Amino acid sequence: MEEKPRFLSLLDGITGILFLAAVLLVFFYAPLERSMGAVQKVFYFHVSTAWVGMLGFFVSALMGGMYILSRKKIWDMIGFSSVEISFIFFFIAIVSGSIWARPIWNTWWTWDPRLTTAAVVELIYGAYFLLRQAIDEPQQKARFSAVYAIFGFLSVPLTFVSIRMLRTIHPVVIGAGDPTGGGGFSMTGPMQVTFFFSLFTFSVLFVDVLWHRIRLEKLESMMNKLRLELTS
Amino acid sequence: MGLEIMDTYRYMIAGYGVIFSFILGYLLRLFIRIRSVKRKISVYREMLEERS
Repeated sequence: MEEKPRFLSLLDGITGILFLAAVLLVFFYAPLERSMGAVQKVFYFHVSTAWVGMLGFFVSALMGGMYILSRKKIWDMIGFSSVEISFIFFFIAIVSGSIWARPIWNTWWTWDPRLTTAAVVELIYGAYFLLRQAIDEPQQKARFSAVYAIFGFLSVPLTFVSIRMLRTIHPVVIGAGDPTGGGGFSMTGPMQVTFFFSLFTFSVLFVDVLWHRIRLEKLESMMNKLRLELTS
Repeated sequence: MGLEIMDTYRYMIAGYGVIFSFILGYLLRLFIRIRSVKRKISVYREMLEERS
């Protein structure tokens, strides 16, 4: 278990190449948007990081369900690892969105439905870590975390649909009715290629980082067993 | 209503600066933790072997 799996090393390499390609596409292939200029390029990785956030929260809810059904520790490990990664990526999405908003909306932050629901999601998953820290007994910790991850996930689809159902200034770029409002724009061919390639790259990055994170959980579990043996 | 060219580049650099630094920071922390745990495992194994 201590040795790194060969396929994981291969995945690291593929992820690195994909990430480099995505960066090159963003900076050298995607054209400059006419009214927003260079700051529009933040959009490609902003949406991709938010996507990883939502994907990971979904995985954690799924793993929560699996844990409740089977009570196997591995589902808790995957769920927790997934939340940790997604928490970071969702935070990046919020901060990068705020930087984009400053020149476009003339403010760093506004209590718009999308921004508010995104902040609520981040706070909900911040509380997930507090909950885990508060419980010592491992099985109880896993059980509570599983239930929390399932209910916490309800906030994620709400964030996704908020810009489609409520009055908001946040642009809806995919399937947009009015691409001209609030910093919205119509994607040209090269923009679409860059956007979907970035989404794919970040999905692969998520799988790669999740694998490493689960590996860390397993190693820590092994380390704790050895420590117990030493002290007994 | 085009923005000033320099402004848009400034915010783009800030945006990608945040994105790259957070991702790299998290990956660095993850790999340092893996390395440290692996080291501790080998030390504990040696200690157990010495004891037996």
